[in-house]
This record gives sequence, C-alpha cells and structure tokens, in this order.
Amino acid sequence: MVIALTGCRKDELMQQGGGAGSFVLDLPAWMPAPPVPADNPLTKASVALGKQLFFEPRLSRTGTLSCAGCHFTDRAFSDTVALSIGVAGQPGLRNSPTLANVAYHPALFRDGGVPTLELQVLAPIHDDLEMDHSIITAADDLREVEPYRSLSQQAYGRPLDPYVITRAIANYERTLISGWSRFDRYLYQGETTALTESEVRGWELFSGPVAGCTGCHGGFDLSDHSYRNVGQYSTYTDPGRARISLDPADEGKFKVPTLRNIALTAPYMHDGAMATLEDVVDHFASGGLSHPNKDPQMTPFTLSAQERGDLLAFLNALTDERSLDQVP
Amino acid sequence: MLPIFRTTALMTVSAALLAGCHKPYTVDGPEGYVRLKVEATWQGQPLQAGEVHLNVSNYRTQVEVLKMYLAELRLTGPGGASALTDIALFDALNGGDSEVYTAEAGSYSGLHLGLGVPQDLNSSDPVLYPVGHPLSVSNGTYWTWATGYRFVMFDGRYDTDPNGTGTPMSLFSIHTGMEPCYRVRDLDFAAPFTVVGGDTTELVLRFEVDRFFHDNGVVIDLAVDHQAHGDNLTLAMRFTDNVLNSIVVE
Repeated sequence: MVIALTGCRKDELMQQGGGAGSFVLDLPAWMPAPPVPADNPLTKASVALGKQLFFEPRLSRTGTLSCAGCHFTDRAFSDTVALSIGVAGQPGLRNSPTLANVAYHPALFRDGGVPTLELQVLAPIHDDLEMDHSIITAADDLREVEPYRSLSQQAYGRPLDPYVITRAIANYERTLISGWSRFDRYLYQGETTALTESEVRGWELFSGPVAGCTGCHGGFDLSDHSYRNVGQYSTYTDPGRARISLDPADEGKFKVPTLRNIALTAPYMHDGAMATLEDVVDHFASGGLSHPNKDPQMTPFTLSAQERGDLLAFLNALTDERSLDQVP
Repeated sequence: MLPIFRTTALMTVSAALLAGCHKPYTVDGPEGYVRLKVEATWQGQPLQAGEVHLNVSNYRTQVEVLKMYLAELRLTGPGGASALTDIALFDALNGGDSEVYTAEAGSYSGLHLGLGVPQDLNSSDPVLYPVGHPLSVSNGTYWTWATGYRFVMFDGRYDTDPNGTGTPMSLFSIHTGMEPCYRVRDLDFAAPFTVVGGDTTELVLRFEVDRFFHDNGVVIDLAVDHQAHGDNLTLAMRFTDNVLNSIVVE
C-alpha cells in the first residue's frame, strides 16, 4: 500500500469519501488521510458493524474471546501481557501490537505477512492459539442475530458472511487514529508549551544524532514500518520477517512499531520480553546483542541519568489525549 | 520462471480409457469429459489412512492426511492442448478423489500439471470463494499468517522401531507452500488417448507415497525432518520434489 503523504488540509479531508452514509475520519489538520480500498469505502454502516464484530466474542470457538480481548481499548488497542492467551488457554507466539494508525501500515503483523487489513482479520479467528474458530461457522452463527442481520444489509447489501466480517472489521480498524498527543500539539500545531522542558530535551535526544531514534521511528507515525533486527537476541527462536521472505538475511527482523501511546502498550518487543520503557531504552543504549542481521543503526550510546529521564519523559508524552475509537 | 520437470522416459503403465465406440473427433470438435482421479498408493497398493507400513528408513509409518492442490491442469498432445481447470484440491487417501472436467474432443498424449497453487492464485482472498471452491477458506488449507495456501498437506505418525506395535506415537506434519515450493510437470502417457465428444475418459494420477521419503538415494529421515509449516523450506522443497517425482500416470 502507498501511504498518501500529501498533507491535505483538514477541510479537504473532511470531504473524503463523500456521499450520504460515508464515515469521515476526524484527522488532525496536519495528518494525511490513510489509504482506503476503493472496494471497501468507509461508511457509517460498515464501521458500526465492524465495531460490533470487533467486540463480539462469538467470533471465537468458545464464544469467550473477541478481538478486544487482546486489543484493549484503554491500552491503545494492545494487550497487557507479553503473549496474549487464546481460547485454548495457551499463549500466542507474539505480543499483540497496538492497532493505533494500523490503517497506515503497508503490511500487517510483526513480520508483514499480510498485505491488507481485510486479510488480516482471518488470522486471529482461525489461529488455534487465538480464537481457534472458523469464520464460516462464526458467520453462520451470527447471520440471523441482530444487529448483524440489519447492519450487514445496510453496510454491504448482503447477509453476514466471511466477506462482510473481514471488510467491516477492517474498516473499524481504519478508524483507530492516533494523532492527538501533547507531542503532536507541540510539533505539528506549534504549541510550545504542550511539552515540559524535560520532554522537549527528550525529543531533542530522540531526534538527535546521539540516540538517533528517528532513524527508524520517524515520520508522523513514529515508525517507518520497515523490518529491522535490533539485536534483541544473538539467536532468535522466532525468525521474524524471514518467515515471510524466506531470506536468511531477514532473520530476527520485525516491523518497526509505532511509538505512539508507547506508555500504554507495555510489555514491549515482538515477544513482550521487555516489561518497561526503561528496559527498552537501556537495550537500545547498549547497542543490542551481536547478530549478523543486526541493523547498522544499532550502535551504543551513553545517556546521563538526566538524559535518560528526559528521553523517558518524552516517550510518555506520546499518549493520545482522546480515545482512538471514533465510532459512536 | 517456474521450474519445469520433463519426463525423460515414458511411464510404463497403461492408460485406462472409458471411450465410446465413436469415431474420434479432432481437437476442434465437440467437448467430452475427463474424470481425473487422484489416489495414493504404498508399494503399489491403495493407501488407506491409518495403515502402518515400513518406510525406506525402516520406520513404522502411518499416514493420516494427504491432500494436495493441483493447478494448471491441461491435456497436451501434438494436436493441441485442452485446459481442464486452473486449480483443484484433492484428498488422495481412502480410495482417492476425482473431479470431472470438460475437455475438447481429440487425441492427447500427456497431462500438464502444477503441484501447488500458482502465485497469481496464491495471493487470493479466500473469502471471495464460495464454500466448495478449492480456494475457499472453508477447506482449512489457507495460511492466514502468510496469505497463501498450503500446497501439499502430509500428516501422520511414525515409530523408529520397526518392531514396535500399536499406533506410532511420534508425529510428522509436512505442509508445503510459498512460491519456491510450486512445481510444474508434464506427464507423458505410454500411449495416446482420445477424448470423445459426449463421453468420459478417466485419467488416474497415482501418488506413490512410499517414494515421498526418498529420491535418488537421498532419504528424508522423519526422525530428523518431520515438520514444515512455512518454515523448514529445505525440507519442504525436497519433499515437494519427491512428491512430484512420485506421480505415476495410468
């Protein structure tokens, strides 16, 4: 997917989609509109249906686990544990990432194995370590149940089926927009008082040559969505991107996560192995462990105690001041 | 470019024909039907799920699942080709599986097939296909994490003790997929066969499962290599080659 970085004015963005029934994203003026597939436009009906389904535990085999069961709304739609527990009581393979701004991702999952949000919906439903269900069976069970019976017709002109489920949930996920942090007000709206002095120093460290975080965590999403090996391990049990590309040079590489709402999305890394932001900062300051695929930008740097505190303060200022969920 | 295997020798089996007594038409004539049957054997005998046999490593081996996608199926011959189907899913155990396709009437001498799902179909969205279609999500053949299909699904049990008894307890599960595991092959029949307008011709593809474990003296040792699910590409590719080479046409 191509991220449209056109810097449209807010009034132009408000006209996106057009037509009665369109769902218009509430975006900050400085934020580009996310790509939306032409065959699944954002409509009020589709996002409403998608939200219902996102919180629907009957998408799981046991009827006990919804998408929201691993993507908590008060955690920027991430989980609170290293590895989410599925319906079988077993942990999954990777940490549940935040869904903030997932609409802008060129590919989904930490290894980028899935190219669209629509296709992504299938994975947790069918994964035996997650919802362990069949989307066909789930659709059969919900088809005649309200509000699905009505909303499905309103949104897609057909009864609930796997196509509708995947399209609707994808559209709901597209509405989860992060762009309302104090850092955003500081950087994009010129509110110089939106950050404390410590947080400003932290931003200067983050974007400066010593820490160099923006080398990967740059752009409006604080991620370039590339795949990097950060030397978390000298030997990886999880192949990461290599699982998809089949290229040994991609072993241990995972998608650079956004740092938006990072204070809410502990624990960290692809396996949730780092419990705190302090652990993460210390890891990156160390330069990481030796690995043949380790990113060349992973070089050690030294922070004073105050600098460490400033950097952490800045990271804590990346939390949205309003809910990511725009759907009533 | 996809790797292409060409048989270097004719298959030494006969073609089973269910042709009528009508004068054969040319390939431009009316349509006939081809029933393509896929079945699994072990040392020449039909393989049933759950049977225990000794493999080349002298391991007690019990096959429980053998399914595969066949693609780009078409009859071939000096007079032309006739496409049967772009994609089909077969369950080869327990007597096998068959599908009937229309084909242009005429004389043919070979069958072209792909083992697996070609790239253009492999990137499909499985929810777009109805239940019953080979690519439907209902078949349980889709790797949701990689947006692609499993090509060959081979599951079962083994026991390294040839004198063991009862159900073998160690598991093997080899699922191939992704582009490097897609193969094509042109099979030549020992003798030409004819598709007659309005009649059904049966073609049998026999997968000699005992040959899955070895080829040209190179053995797949289940005790070492018993799992592939999008990883272990080396095993998946070796296995794919063995499966492809195990196909016998009748």
